[in-house]
Amino acid sequence: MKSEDKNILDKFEKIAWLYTSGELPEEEMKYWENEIETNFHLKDFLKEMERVQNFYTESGLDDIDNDRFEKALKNAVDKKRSAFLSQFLDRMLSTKRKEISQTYKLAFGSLMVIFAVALLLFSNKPNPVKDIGNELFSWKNEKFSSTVSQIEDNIYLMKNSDLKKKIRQNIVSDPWENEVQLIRDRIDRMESEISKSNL
Amino acid sequence: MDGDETAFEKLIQLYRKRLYSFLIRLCGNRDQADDLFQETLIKVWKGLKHYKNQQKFSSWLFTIAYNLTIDCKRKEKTDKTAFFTMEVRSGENISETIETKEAGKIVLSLLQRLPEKQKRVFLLRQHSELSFREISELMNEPINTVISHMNYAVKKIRKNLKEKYEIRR
Repeated sequence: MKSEDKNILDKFEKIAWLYTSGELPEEEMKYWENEIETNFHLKDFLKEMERVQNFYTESGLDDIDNDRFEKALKNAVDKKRSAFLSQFLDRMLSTKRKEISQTYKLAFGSLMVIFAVALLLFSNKPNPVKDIGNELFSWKNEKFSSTVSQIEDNIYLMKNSDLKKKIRQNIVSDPWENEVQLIRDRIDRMESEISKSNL
Repeated sequence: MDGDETAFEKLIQLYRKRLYSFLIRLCGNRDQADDLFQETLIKVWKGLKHYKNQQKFSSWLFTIAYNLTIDCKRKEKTDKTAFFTMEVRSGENISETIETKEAGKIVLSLLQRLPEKQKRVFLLRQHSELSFREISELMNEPINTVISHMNYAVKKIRKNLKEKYEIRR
């Protein structure tokens, strides 16, 4: 065999099986088709491959016992059946479900709406208006209480002359003027008492 | 039996021999092949719902059978008994077949003596209609490796056949 032919044969051996199974790209398939046509060694190699495969085919096939075959088949189907027992029920239900699907959907939807409304109505949800009213009231109460007590304090102070004096001293910085004012107050009071007694 | 089961039986009948031969040759043990045959049918029947038409049925069937056999062999890796039985049978077959000059049987006997991966590629290719690319995916081997397994397998068988016939002559 020429070295050139041997090279081609070596190359072909690597892809021969892909060629026979038609798994080579189209271009390569065409290339090797041409090569095989012109190269005796490649043709011979392919024939040898075929021969071995034919010998194998000629060896025939073994067969399983009929009884064993039947048993294997029965077991396969039975196992499947038991596994599908639950699924069968599901299928049945799903078939019926398809038939009544519209009614079922409507009924389910209505039930859901009723349930939602009932939930809104009867749930123990806090009333926000009520809460704010209470808060405002308690705030006002505190304010009022403090204002009232302030007024009471002032009245008490007014009644008490010493305190008046002290207040005046606090308000008016000149002590002479302060004393004059006190005398005026006394005169006013006396005049009012005299007028009351005349009446 | 309902319609599905009858159709399933018809389908399996078509592949019955090819599948059983594949199993017995791959695992080398008749009892084991019987069990694997049943396991395959169970898996196929269960998986029919998910079977995709994109793949050939035969390819799918033999992929299942192959995977089950490999799993089974993995579990029995430590137990050499089955393998030993197969080897003895092969030896007996060789002498018988040389006498009767049944080349096919010689091929079968030689096949049992091939390294495991070469035998697997050869059997998958012969029985399953899987492409070499599919075989390489199934065996998790690069396609070039798969092709060289096939080349070695065929070369060895061819060489042995030549030698044996020449000896007899």
